[in-house]
Amino acid sequence: MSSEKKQLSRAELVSFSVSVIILLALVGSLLYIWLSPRTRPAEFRIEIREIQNIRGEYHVWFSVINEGDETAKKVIVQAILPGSKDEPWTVFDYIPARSQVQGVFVFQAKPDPANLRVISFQKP
Amino acid sequence: MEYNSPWKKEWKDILRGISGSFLFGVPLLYTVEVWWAGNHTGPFQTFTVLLVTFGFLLPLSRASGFRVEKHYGWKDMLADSVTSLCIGAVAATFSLFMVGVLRPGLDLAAVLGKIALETAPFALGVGISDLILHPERVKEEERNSKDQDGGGLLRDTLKDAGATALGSIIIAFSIAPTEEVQLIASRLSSLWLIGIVAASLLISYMIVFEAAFVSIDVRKSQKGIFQHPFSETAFSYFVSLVIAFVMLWTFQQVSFQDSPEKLLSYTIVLGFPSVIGGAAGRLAV
Repeated sequence: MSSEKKQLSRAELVSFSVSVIILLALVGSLLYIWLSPRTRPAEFRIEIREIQNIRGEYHVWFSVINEGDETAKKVIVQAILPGSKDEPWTVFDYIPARSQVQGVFVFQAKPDPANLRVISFQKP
Repeated sequence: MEYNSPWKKEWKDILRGISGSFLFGVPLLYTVEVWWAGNHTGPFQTFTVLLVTFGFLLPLSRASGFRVEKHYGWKDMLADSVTSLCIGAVAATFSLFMVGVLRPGLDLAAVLGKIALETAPFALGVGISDLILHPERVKEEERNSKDQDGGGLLRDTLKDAGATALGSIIIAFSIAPTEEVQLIASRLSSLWLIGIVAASLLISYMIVFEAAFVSIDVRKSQKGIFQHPFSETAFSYFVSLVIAFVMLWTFQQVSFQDSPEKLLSYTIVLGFPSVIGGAAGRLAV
């Protein structure tokens, strides 16, 4: 069913060469990550991007940026409002190292100002 | 099996490799745990995954590989395994991008981790692609089945639809009850969904008409109403979408009270693995 052949054709050599280049780029990037020092544990910066008034409710859009070198799992972000007993929170499944995710808190009253903080996370 | 030029033969071989990679890789593409694991796979671990995959590809490219004409020298085996790994990596990267897992704001280490973990199944798919999609075998089976039931326009069409539905059910059944369809659909824009439709049609066409057949004339010689390559691809996509929708409805992922946008996006997202299963079904039955 399968025929045998002796040597690589020029077309096969071209696809092999292209493959080598792509895989070398892949391995090179891995090597770069490996060699660059990555020692900072997960640490977070929260930015409030926008506050929208939607049908009388205040939608607070925010980003959580993990500036550390380690991925964090089950990151809980809590919002603290002055003069309010409510402390709503939300969970992000994963925030990879040096990556960011976005979320929204919805408030009845205008959050002025809304303080957001990470209250806990797990090591993956 | 004659090809006009070695370039055309190489092109067909690579398309066969890509087809095999999707057939084998897609179920793991729709597995959120694989994306998550990629978030914290260190560079050493990532490299090991690629190396071990390459190790499996060595014997595979001798036993099957993605080429119709086999190489048996160790140098050629090595070269074929490198090419297989690369095809797998490119197909995996494309797929991850398509389902919105690779997105801006993601760290390079996480990107590479996700790519490497998905490359493993995609590359192994390349390694066995000639075993599943060998032209002569498919051609022979096609001919045998034609001789046995004597053809008939409606019958051929029904047979194709049935085979597509069967293949689609097998793949869509295992994905529909999981959270992935919702996860993927929720992060894609309508323009992106059109891209998924295009990719679904293209890959389905590639598997049935480019990878498994030396010439589409063989497949075209079947007499079903939808037997022209383009109409058959479109028809089987329709069947796969119907199956995807039925599966989603069965597992209560969608209901008729949902918005048309939701119904459409969920169905298109599950339609991608479903149409790939459908293409495999048509080759198998």
